[in-house]
Parts: sequence; C-alpha cells; structure tokens
Amino acid sequence: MSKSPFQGRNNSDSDRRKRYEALVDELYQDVFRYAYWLTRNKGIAEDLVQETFLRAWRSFDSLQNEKAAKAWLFTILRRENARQYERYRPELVDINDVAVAEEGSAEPDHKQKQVELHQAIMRLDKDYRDPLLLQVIGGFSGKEIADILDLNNNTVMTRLFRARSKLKAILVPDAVSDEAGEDLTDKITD
Amino acid sequence: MDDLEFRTRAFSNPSDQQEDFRAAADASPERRQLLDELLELERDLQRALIVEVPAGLKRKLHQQARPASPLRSRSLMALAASLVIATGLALNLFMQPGLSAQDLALHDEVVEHLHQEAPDYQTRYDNGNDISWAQVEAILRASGTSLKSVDELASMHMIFARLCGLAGTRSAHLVTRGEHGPVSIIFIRTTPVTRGVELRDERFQGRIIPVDEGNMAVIGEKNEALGHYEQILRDNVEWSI
Repeated sequence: MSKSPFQGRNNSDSDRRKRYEALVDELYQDVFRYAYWLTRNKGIAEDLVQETFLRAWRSFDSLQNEKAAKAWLFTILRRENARQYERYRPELVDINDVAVAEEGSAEPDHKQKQVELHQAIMRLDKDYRDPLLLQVIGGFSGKEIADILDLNNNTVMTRLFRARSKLKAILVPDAVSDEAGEDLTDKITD
Repeated sequence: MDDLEFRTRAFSNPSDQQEDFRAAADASPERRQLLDELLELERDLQRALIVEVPAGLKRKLHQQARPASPLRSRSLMALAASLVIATGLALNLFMQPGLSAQDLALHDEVVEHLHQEAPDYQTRYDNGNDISWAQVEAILRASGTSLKSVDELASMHMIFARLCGLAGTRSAHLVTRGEHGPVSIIFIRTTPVTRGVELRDERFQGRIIPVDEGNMAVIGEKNEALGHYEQILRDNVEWSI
C-alpha cells in the first residue's frame, strides 16, 4: 500500500505547505461549488471557502487520513456557514440570479431546463436538499453524509429517496408517488 | 430484491454499483427504465450544479499558507496586545477626563477586540482578498444596522466582515483597505458614549463616536487618514429596531 501524503510526515514548514497546496488543488472547486449552493451567493461562498481553508491550514496537523480530507473540509465549511451567516440570513428562494457556468452559452431549451432544475432544487426542504447536495457535489457515501450531518445512515438514505422523489414530482408532475422509502430504510445498504 | 426495495435504493442512490442492485436493475424492463430515468436526472443534476469558480481563488488559498512577516506572527501579536491593553487603560484614565466608566470599558473592549481580530484581517489585507458588499450587508443586517447609500461607499474595498460580541451586543466589524493598512469600522448598538473617545494604543489610532442611538468606531494604523471614512459612514448609517 502506498503511503498517504498525510501520514508519517515530517514536520517541516515547506512540506506541510506542499501538502496543504495539494489539498487545495484537489478539492477547492468542489468545496466552492458546495459553498455556493449552500449560500447562493458567490461572494459569501468565496469568503466561506477562504475561511474554511484558513481554518484547515491552522489545524492541518490534526488531519490524519487523506481520505477524510474532503469530509473534513465540508464539515468545517458547514460549521463556518452556520456560525457566520446561516442563522443571521433569511433563506433565499429566488434563484433567478444564479450564475452557473453553462448559462451564458447554453441553448435556450437547455437553459430553461437548468432554470427549472435550479428552482426545483431550491423548492426542496433543507432537510432533503442538504444530503442531496452532499451526494451529488461531494460524491459522499450515505455513511459519510450521515457523519457530516450528524444523522444516522437510514435517515440519510430516506431523505435522499424523498429528495429525488420530490424533484421528479416537481419536474414531471404525476410521474412519481412517494409510497416507498418509509419502511424500507433498513433494507438500504450503502 | 423486491420492487419496493429496488425502487427505494434506486431513488436513494441511482449510481449504486453494488452487485445485487445492478442485477436487480436488469431483472425487468420496468426497473431498467426507472433506473435509466433516474440516471438521466442525475446527469442533469450534475450539470445544473456546475458553478464557475472565481478566477484567482486557488492562488488566494495557496497564499493563506504563506508565512506572514515575523512582526505579524501570532505570538508577538498576543504579547503586543496585552501590553497595549494595559497601556491603553492607563492612558485613558489620565488623559481623557470627562469619560464615564462605561466609555472607558468600551474603549478597552474595542482595543482588545482589534488586537484579537487583527491577524485574520491583516492576512486578508496582505493577500489582496476582497469580499463583496453582499457579505457586508448580510453582516450589517444581522447586527441591526444598515448603510443608506451604498453608491457613496462603493469605492471602499472591503476585506472583512464579521459579527462580534462587543458591549454585550451583536456588533458589525467591517474592515476596508486603507492607504497604509486595514481600516476597521465597527458599529456597536449600545448606549452612545458621552463624547468621542480617542483610541490610546501603540499600533492603532481612531475614535469611537456616538451616532444616533449607537456607537461607531473607525480605526486604522497610525498614519492613516480616517476623517473621510468617519464622515461618509456617519452620514449613512441607520440603526434598525
């Protein structure tokens, strides 16, 4: 097994900085993307990402496992958002000002579809939207999402089920019913 | 695996690669169709959530790990802070007669707070990291203040905005980019000071002034001209209930 760059390290400042920069290179885009959809504000998202990586840098030595780095950063970001912005800021539901990368060049039909999907995502209750964003943007497993959100795995899987059910119901009315997902969470494996 | 379990797993994680789930998907055309629809939704979601990452963000994040100048190291700052607080208190007592004990206490709390926050906003100043006015407005709202004419203030490059506990209230601490260093602007919604309180500190200069039903502090490095900041902000601040 190859040795993780985050383990068995020497403590020189330059080595520590190189490992930090490698972490930034690998993860900053996903972290920004998540910050953006958490706040729906590019400026606040950028500030949150900077604060997140600043805190990560300050406690970088506490990171013992490379595989845990992404979940660690997302957790710092969520905590920082809650501390600085979330409780003082009304929930924004108007997504018309969303500046996604593709919008400028997208075909009208495609653009319309994107807007509808944005609106559908923002219409989801936060309890359903949170795990969905972590799964789609972060690529986290149910267990990792459960750890980040401090929930149990079955609850996360149920919320993911409902999030997609509701999305389909919003996008294609009458196409989906919410009959499953209530009692079968014990059958869901991760 | 029965249909209900398949459906539940498909909606929870359509990209599930486990053997039993994949085999179950191929067991009937209806299941295959449902999974294909969900995978298409997944691709749409992936595309819809793409956001353009700000240019220069990676560079800024790298810079956060660059060492600051030795004079700005945290330990020296902490030592300087304790010396400064003691000096400030002594000078206040002797050189600013007519101020109440509450005025002096607010002065000392502000000075201590500035020295605590300085490493953070100094890093942002050194790295050239600006924040948006939307962030500033969010913090102002949360502190019960607002600024009337953002147009007049638009030329100010804001680098820091945070809610801080000062005088037992939620106060807005903003920092803008000054000529000679960061300039702190703090709105404290508490009983107005008796009169303007000049800051006594080895590093910072500025003052706390009463503005309507609250206080505003504009504080910068020793050689920073602060008058115009004070003027613009005093004319524009509004306190909400």
